[in-house]
Amino acid sequence: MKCPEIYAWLLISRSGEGLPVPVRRHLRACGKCRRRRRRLVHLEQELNPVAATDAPVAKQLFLAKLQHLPGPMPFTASPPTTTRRLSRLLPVAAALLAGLGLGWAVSSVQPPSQQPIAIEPPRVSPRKEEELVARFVNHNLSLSESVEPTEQITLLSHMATDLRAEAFRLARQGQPENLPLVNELYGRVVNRGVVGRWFSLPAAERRELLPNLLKNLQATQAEIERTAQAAPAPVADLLRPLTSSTETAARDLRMGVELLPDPDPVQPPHLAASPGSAHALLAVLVTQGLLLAEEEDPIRRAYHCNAVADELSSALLLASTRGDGDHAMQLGKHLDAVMQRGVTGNLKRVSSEDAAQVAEVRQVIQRASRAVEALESGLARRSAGANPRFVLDAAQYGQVKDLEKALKDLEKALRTANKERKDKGKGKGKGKEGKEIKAVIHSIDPTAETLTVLLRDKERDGEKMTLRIAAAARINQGASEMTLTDLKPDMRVKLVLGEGGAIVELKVEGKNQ
Amino acid sequence: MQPEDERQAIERAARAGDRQAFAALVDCHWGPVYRWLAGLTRNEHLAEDLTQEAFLKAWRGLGTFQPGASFRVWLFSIARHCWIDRQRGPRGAITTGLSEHMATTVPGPAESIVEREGKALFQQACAALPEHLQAAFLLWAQNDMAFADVAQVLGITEATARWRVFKARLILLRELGNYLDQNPR
Repeated sequence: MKCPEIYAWLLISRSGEGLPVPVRRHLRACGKCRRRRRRLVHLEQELNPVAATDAPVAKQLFLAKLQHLPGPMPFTASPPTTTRRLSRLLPVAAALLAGLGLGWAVSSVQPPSQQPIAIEPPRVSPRKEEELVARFVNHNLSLSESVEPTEQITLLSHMATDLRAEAFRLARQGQPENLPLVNELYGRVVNRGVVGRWFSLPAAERRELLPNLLKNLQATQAEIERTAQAAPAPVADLLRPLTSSTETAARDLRMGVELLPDPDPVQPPHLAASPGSAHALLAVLVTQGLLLAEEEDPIRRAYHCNAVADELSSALLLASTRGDGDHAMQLGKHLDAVMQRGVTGNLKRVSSEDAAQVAEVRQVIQRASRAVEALESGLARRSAGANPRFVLDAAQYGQVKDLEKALKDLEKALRTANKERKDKGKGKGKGKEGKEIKAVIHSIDPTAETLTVLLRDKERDGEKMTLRIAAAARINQGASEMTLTDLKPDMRVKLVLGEGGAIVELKVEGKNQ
Repeated sequence: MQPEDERQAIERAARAGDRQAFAALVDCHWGPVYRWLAGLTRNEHLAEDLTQEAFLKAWRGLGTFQPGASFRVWLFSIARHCWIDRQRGPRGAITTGLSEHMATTVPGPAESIVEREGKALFQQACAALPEHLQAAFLLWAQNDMAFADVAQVLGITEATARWRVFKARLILLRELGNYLDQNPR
């Protein structure tokens, strides 16, 4: 954690409150932040004496007067004003309209409150936040399908741009509580993601890409500084981590400093947002996105996508509880895309015959299955005692069915993989690979280490084939070993083919000797 | 009986018209409400009036207090409305600026010149805060209210309450930074 994040944390904490481990750790190491904390503690201690006395005389006078006052008035409900009536009706209307897909529109209507003039109060911008989540779901899905570091760098740069824009939005709208989290995520994407992927490129590609990356970082730096200068001082302070992360990234790129290996490559962010909120989803999407960029194994990628699916399921349940029909539906779509493209898509790329890996695939499917079951039972509970349409409309229910279908596809893919594995096992010595082929040598190319033969086969007799000779191929005649140069046209041979159709064993038949 | 149960029992009794129970509530909450209003109005006579008015309204309106809700939050909300009404009322704008008496609270024998100077600096810095920041900050800092309660009293969202406290502390530190560094406790 960086100093401004710690400062923001300290400013909204009381001195007596326990601090989280990362904050304590930072304070131990940073004199500047310790001084800031001391100031805040001092400020709290100084505050109470500032207050005037408790006006005991006025209190005694009031208590004396109390004995002669008439008793409390019984509660009689006054006719509701339009605003009161509206605010009472809102939850009911929201619940009713959630089923019609209008829940969100209603929940965003609030009775007007008295707001300050000097500071723009935080405005919840659900649309902006939903758009942000949608963009990050897309980034994640693209990362789950991308194996090229240059493409990954582009995707991670898009993520960084979106996070920067979000930080600016929060600063402008006076919502600083999530700024430290967004700053932290931005730092990770730039330093761990973009710079990390750049280091994974071959040297020539690194050199080629470097000027553009540095130019972009420079432009970013200028943009952050412009925004910070235009913002009030406290907000500008909160935007400093963006500058610092960008500077670090540019320095690492210029110096070509290899990142130190991290024992736990990508940790979840130190700062947390409210569970189920857009920013909590954002944190998971960024963390898993970075893991996806660093991972090539499709099973592991499917696993990371599953983690995103878990978070989306929780958010979906919360949204349905609140009666946010549109939002729940949107999350359902994301969930479906993550299951289809992220989890299923990656599992379909698994081509291993390794039993351990197949078991891993099964684990991923089981985890996905549990997530769907939890979602189904959660949604069923939410709808208990009420018309399910108020909570879970047909489209949302369809999402669950789609997930079930995705799971069936997954299991089908696994069965196919298993079947292929078994078939390959059964076919040993009979299929192309591992099969003994009878042939007559047509020609030999020692430079290319290939052999052209005419098949001696009932079905394919006389067919010409050119085969590569594997480097470790055994060539022999009876008990005596031979080399490639010993081979001559018209020799009758028996060939054994290995992986990729290369000759791994060549036996020269005796009568040609 | 647990303190929480005892508190609820007193609130129930007061709600039923028990003057002694309400007097106990007055005793408990008078100081915090007065101090908060004094901070906001910067006029202790006005703060006294407003505190009396707030408790009077609370007594009359006890029937509307929902059992299980926080009496403190409810009371502070009434106090806030009294303050708003007074600002809008026929008497017009309230005299602002530190009252002479508050600015020069008589120091005790052990109180040093530095402490007096510090106190005056704090008063000035707090008084210079915009009213809406000060209201949130004092509720949070003086009365140990959670952000959710601050939000309820001021009729704002919790995020706004957090932002106002954050902003107020940032301003105070900026104004008092040198003094705090030079006079560590």
